[in-house]
Amino acid sequence: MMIDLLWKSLKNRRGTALLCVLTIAFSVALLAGVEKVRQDMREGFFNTVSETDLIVGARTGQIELLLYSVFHLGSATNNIRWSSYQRITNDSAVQWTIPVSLGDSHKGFRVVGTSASFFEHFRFGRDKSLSMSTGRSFNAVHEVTLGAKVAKTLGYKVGDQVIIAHGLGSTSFSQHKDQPFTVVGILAPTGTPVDQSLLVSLESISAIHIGWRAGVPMPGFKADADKLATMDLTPKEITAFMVGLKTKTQVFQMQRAINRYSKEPLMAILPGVALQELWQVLGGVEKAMLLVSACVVLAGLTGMLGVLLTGMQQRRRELALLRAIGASPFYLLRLVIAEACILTATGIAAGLALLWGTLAAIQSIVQEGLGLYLTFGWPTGLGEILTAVLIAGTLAGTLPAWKAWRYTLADGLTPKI
Amino acid sequence: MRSADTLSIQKLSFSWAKNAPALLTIDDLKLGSGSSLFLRGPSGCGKSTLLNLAAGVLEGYKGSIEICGQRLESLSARQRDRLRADHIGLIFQQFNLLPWLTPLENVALACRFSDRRRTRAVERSGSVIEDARRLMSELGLDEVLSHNRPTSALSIGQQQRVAAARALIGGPELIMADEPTSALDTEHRDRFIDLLLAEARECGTSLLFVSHDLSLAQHFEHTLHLEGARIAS
Repeated sequence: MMIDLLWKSLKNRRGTALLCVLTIAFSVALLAGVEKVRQDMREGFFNTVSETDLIVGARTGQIELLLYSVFHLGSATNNIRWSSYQRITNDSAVQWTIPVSLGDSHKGFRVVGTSASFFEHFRFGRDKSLSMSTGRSFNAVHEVTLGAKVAKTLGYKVGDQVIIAHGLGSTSFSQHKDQPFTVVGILAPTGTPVDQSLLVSLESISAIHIGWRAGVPMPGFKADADKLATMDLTPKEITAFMVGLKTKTQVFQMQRAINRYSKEPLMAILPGVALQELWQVLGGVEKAMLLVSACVVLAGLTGMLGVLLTGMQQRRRELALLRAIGASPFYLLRLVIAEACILTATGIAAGLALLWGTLAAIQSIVQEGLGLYLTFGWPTGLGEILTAVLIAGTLAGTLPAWKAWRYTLADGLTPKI
Repeated sequence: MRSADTLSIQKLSFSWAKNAPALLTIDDLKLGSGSSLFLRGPSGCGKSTLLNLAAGVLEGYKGSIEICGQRLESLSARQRDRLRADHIGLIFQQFNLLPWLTPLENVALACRFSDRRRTRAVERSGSVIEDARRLMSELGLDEVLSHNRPTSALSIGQQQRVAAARALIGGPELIMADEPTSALDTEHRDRFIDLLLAEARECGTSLLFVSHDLSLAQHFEHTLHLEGARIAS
């Protein structure tokens, strides 16, 4: 029976009430938005590689191996022998492997030497495979397939010629000018580092390095297509490779076997474990983000408190009148607290509507621009957070309610204004 | 044992601080059921204090105040709130109405805090809103009803009549009016008092009318003077 009185009273003060609701709506939208981005980022991060059981490289730290093989950050200190790769690929427990050969770049984007197996077996997100946006995957020497971001940033299309630079700087001076590549296809966006890669065959990597010693071309050597066709382009070494096993139960056994491989020091890591370890390094950032948005909610609630407290002075006469008609101070206390509760709840609802509306509007822009795939799903734990906000908002109402209580007792029937 | 008086005050003495001189002393004041009393006093003589005491929102007095046979000093704050809602209608000098309710809702509001008055209003007219409509009509507010005027558009005279209807709805035993006509001109003032008295008489409601304006005393059955701190008949 209180609710209609409350509603009419709020409608009468719709300006300030709306202001309260908006303050809370914006802060809740921000808080929920940060939580959403955080969880989707985390999801995206952990789904950079999926379905891969092991990543194998030269012996180093597990985060380093993960960084250069999957995220294409930093560089490998050592390569591994082609024979070792062959040996493990042919193991009876192994279903597939994807070789990765790194070290060259094009205008700041990494060139990844790999095989057709990459297009067949690489999985990201929730078991999604690569798909072509236009063209096809490479199948010969001097053919390149571009990641979505590379094509978009550099404006390349199928048929364009690309010169690959030796080394990783965007302004590398030594370029493989004599062997231009032809773009044969562009991949659909994945939201993973694949988008920023140029994919070529391992043979292409071998071809462009023929005649090079210690990182510089030998003078007087000129490779032409005829000569290359006669040469054996089987790589001597690769940087790392990913392994998919026939049965998951063999993962640890296989990992141990690779780590003990006697011909060369190798290391196998579990991508999930390494990603977890890396995420812990980045975890501080997400906590800071959450903390900042929690502070924004606090500011929002403080704003509401300010508006309610100022309003209380103006409503003093109203409270005295209700008291004269028969309302107890306790009734007025409940009225004011219920008001704060309703304002907070409305603010939360409006904030969520705002967030999901914004999500719908910017989802595709964010995915193209930042490679972050924002889902419409309800973030885990958001319900608890919003409940806490509602409780905090209602508790904030106790302060003006206490003020109202004091007024009603001090004023009696005649407000002292 | 139940006294026949609606309001009975015995040996009342009130001061704001413990050892301060008494602001208000009333030796003996009785208001019989259905009668009307004009209480006259200059401003600052403790009229508002008396109303706050009788309405049960102010405590800390000596003596006894009895409303409809119930001694206020024996009741808890909550019981006094209930007593006020059930048995007392109040009319003030101004700002009697909530601007965000319609005049009709303002009248019906009194029944929201009292089951007793709601039951009585329903018995009388079928519903609270119907009874509010009836009272407003009898107090000459047909024009307000038919035009659906918002509370903020009412003249002061109309506002006071809406306040009177609210005090009367559900037939409380006692109406206390604190200078309800001070903002009205002579013509409206007399008309307001006549209407109020007629309605009170019809409901059998006692009326305690407080004002500084002695010329109004002629309308009432009894007159008392509240002079400074003392009461004299």
